[in-house]
Amino acid sequence: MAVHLPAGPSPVDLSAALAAMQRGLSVQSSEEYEARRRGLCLSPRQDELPRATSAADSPRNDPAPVILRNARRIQGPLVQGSVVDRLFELHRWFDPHLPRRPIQSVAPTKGAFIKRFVSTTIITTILAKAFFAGFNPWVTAIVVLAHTLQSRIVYELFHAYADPASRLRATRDAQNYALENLLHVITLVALGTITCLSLNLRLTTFATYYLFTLVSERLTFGILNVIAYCYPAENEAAELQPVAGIEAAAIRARRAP
Amino acid sequence: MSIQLNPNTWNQSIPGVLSGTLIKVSSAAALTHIFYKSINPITTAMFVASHIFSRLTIRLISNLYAGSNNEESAAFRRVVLLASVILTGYVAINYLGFTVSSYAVYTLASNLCEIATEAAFGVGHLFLTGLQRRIC
Repeated sequence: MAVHLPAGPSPVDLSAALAAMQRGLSVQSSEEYEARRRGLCLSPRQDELPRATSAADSPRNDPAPVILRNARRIQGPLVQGSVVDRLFELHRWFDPHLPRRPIQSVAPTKGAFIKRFVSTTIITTILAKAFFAGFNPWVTAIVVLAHTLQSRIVYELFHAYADPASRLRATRDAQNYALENLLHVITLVALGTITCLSLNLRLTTFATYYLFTLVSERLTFGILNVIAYCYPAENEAAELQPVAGIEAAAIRARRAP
Repeated sequence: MSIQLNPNTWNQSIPGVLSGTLIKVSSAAALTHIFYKSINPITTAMFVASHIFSRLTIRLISNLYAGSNNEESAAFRRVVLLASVILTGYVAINYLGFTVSSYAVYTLASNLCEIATEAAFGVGHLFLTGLQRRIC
């Protein structure tokens, strides 16, 4: 039961309102009352919120609301937001989390390893022959093989020592990220030293071969990934595997006819 | 063993990209000057500028067209990085006076320093997190 007070310039009967409040009745103005009567929705009042009828319905037992912090990203390229916002991502400027990038994965099977080595060697040879005067095919093959082995070693060591399921996600990501980069640094220095000493190469020669290997590797993987992305039906399971539950559901919903 | 990867990649901010690239490329330039004497400071400055410019370009492009999951983002990232390497190399060799060898040395040094810096940041983050947890 409520006591309706007149709104506007007319004086408010404070004594009536005070008496009504003392009796435990709710007080609302006439404007609010009229708006509610006409069906306009004002801010919800506490006494009008749905109440829990049983212990199972209590808010304490409800599942926690899912907050999609990166909802725009989940929806893909066709998302809301202005171009400027998407260009600069202003809301991320003060993001305290450690920046992360995808952990590089090397193909684990033997066939993929050989395929990768062959394709990288061919592209590196073409690049070195075209742009490098002191081209040597054997050195090219050995440098590419050493680089592929380095990636393989990094992959094996990372999967041997990485933390797969820690309780704290930020710590786990940072730990894996640091481990991967440390492995890369150590193996890259070792690769350069061993290759230069064993093949009697100068630093510039090794750097040139390394640059060509890097370019050809990115070219190979870029082409392979683009092909895999263009034909998602064959790679759907592999694509959805690393994606967490809600994002996988979003992708499936997007693909559904 | 399945290792959970973070699907949201390339989420660095513009100041983060700028400062990180500056640190990495400066350390790369210092490393190059130590091991490769025949490079003058103007070339180094040009390399730093072109590297930062290419990183910013990659960042802007990736914000516009980045994928919605890990595989898609990784594919896109590799293609953009490849285009960046080719474009930066073309500009450096044809317009900035680099040779293929000097550009390769710079690329090797910047790659090494980039990975080392990221590793140092990661280890520092872990150290600070552990320290904070012990204090609190």
